[in-house]
Amino acid sequence: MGERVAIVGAGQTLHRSRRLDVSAPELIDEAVQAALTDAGMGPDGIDAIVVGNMEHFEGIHLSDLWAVEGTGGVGKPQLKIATGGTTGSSLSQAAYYLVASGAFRTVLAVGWERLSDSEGETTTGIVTAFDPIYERPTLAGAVSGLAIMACQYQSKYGTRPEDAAEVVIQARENALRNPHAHLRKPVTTAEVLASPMLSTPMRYLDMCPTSDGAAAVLFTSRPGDRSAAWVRGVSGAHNHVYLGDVAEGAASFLNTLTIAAERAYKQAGVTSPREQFDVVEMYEPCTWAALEWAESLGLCAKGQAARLWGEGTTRLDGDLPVNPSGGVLCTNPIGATGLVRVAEGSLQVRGRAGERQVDGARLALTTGFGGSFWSEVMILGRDA
Amino acid sequence: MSEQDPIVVRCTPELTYRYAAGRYGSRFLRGLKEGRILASRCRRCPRTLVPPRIACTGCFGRMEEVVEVPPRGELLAYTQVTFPFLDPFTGVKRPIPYCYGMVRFEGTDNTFQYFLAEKNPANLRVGQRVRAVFREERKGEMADLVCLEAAE
Amino acid sequence: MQPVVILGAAQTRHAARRPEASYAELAFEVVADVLARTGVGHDRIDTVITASSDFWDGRTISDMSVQDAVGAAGKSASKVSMDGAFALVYGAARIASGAYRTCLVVAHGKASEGMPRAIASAAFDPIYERPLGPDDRVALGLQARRFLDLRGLGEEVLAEAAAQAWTAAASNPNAERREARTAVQVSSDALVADPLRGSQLAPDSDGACAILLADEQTAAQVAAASGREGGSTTVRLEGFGLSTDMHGLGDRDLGTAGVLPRAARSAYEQAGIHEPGRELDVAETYDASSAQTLLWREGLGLPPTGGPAWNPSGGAMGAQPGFATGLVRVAEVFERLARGEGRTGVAHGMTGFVGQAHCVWVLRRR
Repeated sequence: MGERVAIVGAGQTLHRSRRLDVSAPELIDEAVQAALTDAGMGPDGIDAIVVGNMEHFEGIHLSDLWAVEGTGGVGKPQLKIATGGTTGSSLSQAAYYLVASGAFRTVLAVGWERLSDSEGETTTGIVTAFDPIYERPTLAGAVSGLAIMACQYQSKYGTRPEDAAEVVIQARENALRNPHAHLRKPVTTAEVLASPMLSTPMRYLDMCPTSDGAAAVLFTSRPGDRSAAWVRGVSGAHNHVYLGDVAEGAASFLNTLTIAAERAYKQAGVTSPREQFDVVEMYEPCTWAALEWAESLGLCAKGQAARLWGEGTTRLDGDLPVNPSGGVLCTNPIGATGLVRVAEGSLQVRGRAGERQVDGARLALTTGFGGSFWSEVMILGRDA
Repeated sequence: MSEQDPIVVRCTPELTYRYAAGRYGSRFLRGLKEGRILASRCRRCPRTLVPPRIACTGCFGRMEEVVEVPPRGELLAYTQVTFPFLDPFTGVKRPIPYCYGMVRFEGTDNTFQYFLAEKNPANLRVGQRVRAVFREERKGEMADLVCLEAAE
Repeated sequence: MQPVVILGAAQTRHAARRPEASYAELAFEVVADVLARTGVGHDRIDTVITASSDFWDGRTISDMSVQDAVGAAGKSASKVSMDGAFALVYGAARIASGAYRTCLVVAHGKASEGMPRAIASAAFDPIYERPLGPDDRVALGLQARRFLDLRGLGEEVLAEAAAQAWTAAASNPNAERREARTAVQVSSDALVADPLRGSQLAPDSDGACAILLADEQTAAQVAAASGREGGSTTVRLEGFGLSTDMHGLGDRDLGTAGVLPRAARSAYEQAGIHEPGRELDVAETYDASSAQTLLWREGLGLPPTGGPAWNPSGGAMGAQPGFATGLVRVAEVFERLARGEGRTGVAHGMTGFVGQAHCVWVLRRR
């Protein structure tokens, strides 16, 4: 088997709706320097870099090579990974395998996006992720794709919009403790239900924002005496080509998350996720998704996720805190979003999450979501 | 612009693409011209999928057959889009509101995403029957299929 | 990293236009072919890595269109948004990590569906470079001119290198260009980007390539099951190197092989190669121009004449199917070694203008 792999550093930018104060390489550098500082390491300690970004949003082809000065990749091996929403989680997995294989000792994963470069037309870019002939005419980006999922979920379980609203209410509360988060303003049920309808049943405040930001995470097989978050489980499951194939006979819309989670749980020896995980950083692109994803992860029975949030289990002081960072609902620089989950999970088990720290967290579950409802999972532990 | 304001440079590269529908997609679009819905079938799995495509979602093997399926089915999910956004095809805002849904055509195993005739989501329900509406003058393109309307 | 076995490789017949095939159909063609060649079923593929470009495909998340064609659904899969030779690094690492026994690496590119020059232009800096209207060929011209000036060489060396590539490609059934041309013929083409003429530039092609990787144990099982003698014809990936240069053309010396020697050094070191000119039997490079043919040869530490069989497929000058181009180089070296034509070979992939990022692989038959 391969090398054991640990995360020894994590850094993020201040995520905001517009980071016009910096160029893309400068934005990336902000996250990279933060990760190096966190690890107490210099750039010479980095053997290779994996960088991710969805270049259509910035309109720059080969954006990895254009922004190479930001990652510190000049003269070094650098690979670009680009898988849509999962880009950040895919980066963490690529960095993991490159280290586990023995190919490199220390690999820096860097995800970034400047969605403000699309001048507010992020949906246009997301529409082009789908089939030009069959899907683009009808699809309204991630918003309507997820609305379709929410429609099915709601019709199956009779979940009320106010139940879903609870997810963003808690996320915004958590984001107040996270200086990096983009949206740091509390919201109420009444505000969520009164926010503009985007695509039934999805309202404006049910949906994640579009952000500018970057994240950087250091993976190594030689942590030495550095504070480490050990990678205990890594898995992913892709899906079919068309959105119309996705829910085909599956028990849940995000069947891929169940498949990926089961594999990763097995690697980490997790048999009852609800009890064993101390914290979850999930990629929840909208409130309704958090409910469905929690069930797909086996954190509760089907149709019961609203109770997890309603009863406060998911709160920072609850039994199983979900997204103490505020999650994707508060911060979404697409190419970095999945890596932020991993960064946050690693900070939690290293006890370095500041005001959003979950007391005594030892085992963290992080997830990535993207494409045509595909999923990636990484489990991080304080213990090797 | 003040001395402190960041400078932003606007750039709008124009790129045109000519997407190949492929062998299976070309048959589907020609089927629409004839007012027919075509699917691909894998006899091993067995599985019938719209639109037709080369690789089976069950066994990843080649889908050998292209068959016609009834132009009617069941609505399994829907949404009404009410927010404005730039349509990547036309370069202008897509007209809103509009409803679309996921329809399982009779005899198929997946769903197909398309426009619904109904404008009010309150009149839609999961499980309702719908049928395909074709336009009179068809050209072998997606627009030949106008929408799916309630069949009951 | 432990060596990883190449079980098989497949490529399309590359062409200027494949309007009848969608991306999925193009990818399916090579996946079905490599599975048939190796006798490995889809159920034995543990993981999949693809390589494609969102800008080339005109599709954000370009790997989505090929998910079923490469059999990725339900499996852990990922996409390297670089030339396929780089994707092979990730595929091999997934196996060497011990997590997977087999990995399918698939790359596709269709120049005919987009606007290659305009897409290339979108890779230049939007503030400092794009106003000048550069594209990939302009950059290749700058590189070629600088190369000639730095060495005091005449344009005839470009013509000779191009003629050699055209002649080799003529006998490659998968090449787009299949017409032998002399140095005189390639010198009479119209100038595209001084000093380069049309036939001294790689064509824009449609095509795909698949390579199936496995660990040693699985490779032995597959060989045993197929009734072929295991071991003696096994080709392994024994070393790789990656390197990245600055972006700005003004920040690099275009007349040199840039950071390629760095990648080559790493690959040779891992494979235990000390004298590449003597120890290598075959070399395949991603040369987007005939100046690169000469530069990359030098960058790989090979003598100007003699040494290994040089781009026997015609190299990228024979066909350049986007991000599949470098993976095709690996496939070509593999096929040659698997046929017993030599024991050790080097394959080269490239991403970005005039060699901003290089990937070097050493393959060896045991």
